[in-house]
Amino acid sequence: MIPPNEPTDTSDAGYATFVATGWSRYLWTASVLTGDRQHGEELLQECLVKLYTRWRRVARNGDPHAYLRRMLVNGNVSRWRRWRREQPVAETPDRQDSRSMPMEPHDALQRAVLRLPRQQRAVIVLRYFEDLTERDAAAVLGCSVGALKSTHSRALAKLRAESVLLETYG
Amino acid sequence: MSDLSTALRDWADRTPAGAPPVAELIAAGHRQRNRRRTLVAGIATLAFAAVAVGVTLGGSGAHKPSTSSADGTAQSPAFELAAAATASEDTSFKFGIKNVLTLPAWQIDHVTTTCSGAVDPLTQNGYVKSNTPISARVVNGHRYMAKDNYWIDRGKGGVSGVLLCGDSKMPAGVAADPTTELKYLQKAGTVTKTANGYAFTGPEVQGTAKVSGGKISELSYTVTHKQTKDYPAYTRQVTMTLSGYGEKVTVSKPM
Repeated sequence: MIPPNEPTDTSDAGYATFVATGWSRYLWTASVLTGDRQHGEELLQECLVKLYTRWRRVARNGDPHAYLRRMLVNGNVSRWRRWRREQPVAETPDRQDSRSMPMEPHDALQRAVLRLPRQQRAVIVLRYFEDLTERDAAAVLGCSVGALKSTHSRALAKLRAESVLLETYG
Repeated sequence: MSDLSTALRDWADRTPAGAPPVAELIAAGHRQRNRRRTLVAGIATLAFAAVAVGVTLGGSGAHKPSTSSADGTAQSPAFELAAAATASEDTSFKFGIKNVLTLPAWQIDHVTTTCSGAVDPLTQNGYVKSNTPISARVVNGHRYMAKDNYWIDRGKGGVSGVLLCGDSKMPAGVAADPTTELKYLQKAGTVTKTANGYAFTGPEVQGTAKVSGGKISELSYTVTHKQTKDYPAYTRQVTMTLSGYGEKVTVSKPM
């Protein structure tokens, strides 16, 4: 795991190092947040480009990891809203691939995580993958600790409701 | 629920991520960060270009007259080239572009982008296809952009500045828009006539142009950009072939 408050180089080289070391981790986070590998990569790239434009300030004054996590969560909501306004088509005349690349769950738990509503999924990812405290996760999501606890509780209840999960993780 | 943490990490470990596109992200970040600066600078550049063209066309005496116009007035090579560029961008044409970028600071070493397409500024139809995931179509001024596997309706906007060759997120000037590239010729610093056409040299650009029937048929140039506070140093070699002048450009809606 990446230390949350590592000294950060404000130069392009520092940004490049940040991206190189955090890429696979945040790609997975973004993919689970969006529920789709390709959408996750697009979201992550959009956020990393924005982060670059503010890199010197963020690297000097704050924690770029926390900043990026917040961008991913907010960006996911923005993409969802924007997506409703655009007019995507399922197939293009000169392309063969389908539009999305769903995440590939390997077991019941992963399928259950992907079935969670967006906010609950975000809470699970932040608490159990990013190892954030309730306070930090609430800050990323822009909600109160109380609201986060409530969402967290509902998410766990849904995960536990899966029969396989009760046996395996209950 | 530590098992939940473990399960999520196992899942992440089993999901291939590929190499991070660091150079592309930095390039895109540069472009976004400098968009406002570029807009301001662009206005200044336009003013400069207008002055430069005005001076050139005004016959400052810097260029030796080589030909005569119909009314017998002497014309400079710069005048001829600017006239050919203007004539070329006012009519429909097909284009093929090869763009080779070298940007050592971002580990970009002779990355080649190739594109082909056509544009008709009068009917506002055009398209560009390339060896990148990005392509575009303009149908009666309505823009459609394709990225990866899907098309997005970008609404009205016309052909100008949208038929890019390569990633539009790259530093300003790296993407090759034929109509934009033709303007290079109009503000070229020094123009001389050669056996095959024209040679031009500017502060950061030097190249050659071939003219056929009063219009540009081939444009080849190299931009050598020195490091500034906005961009690292880069070299861009562009070869454009232009043909099919005046032919009808038909583009179908992708969606």
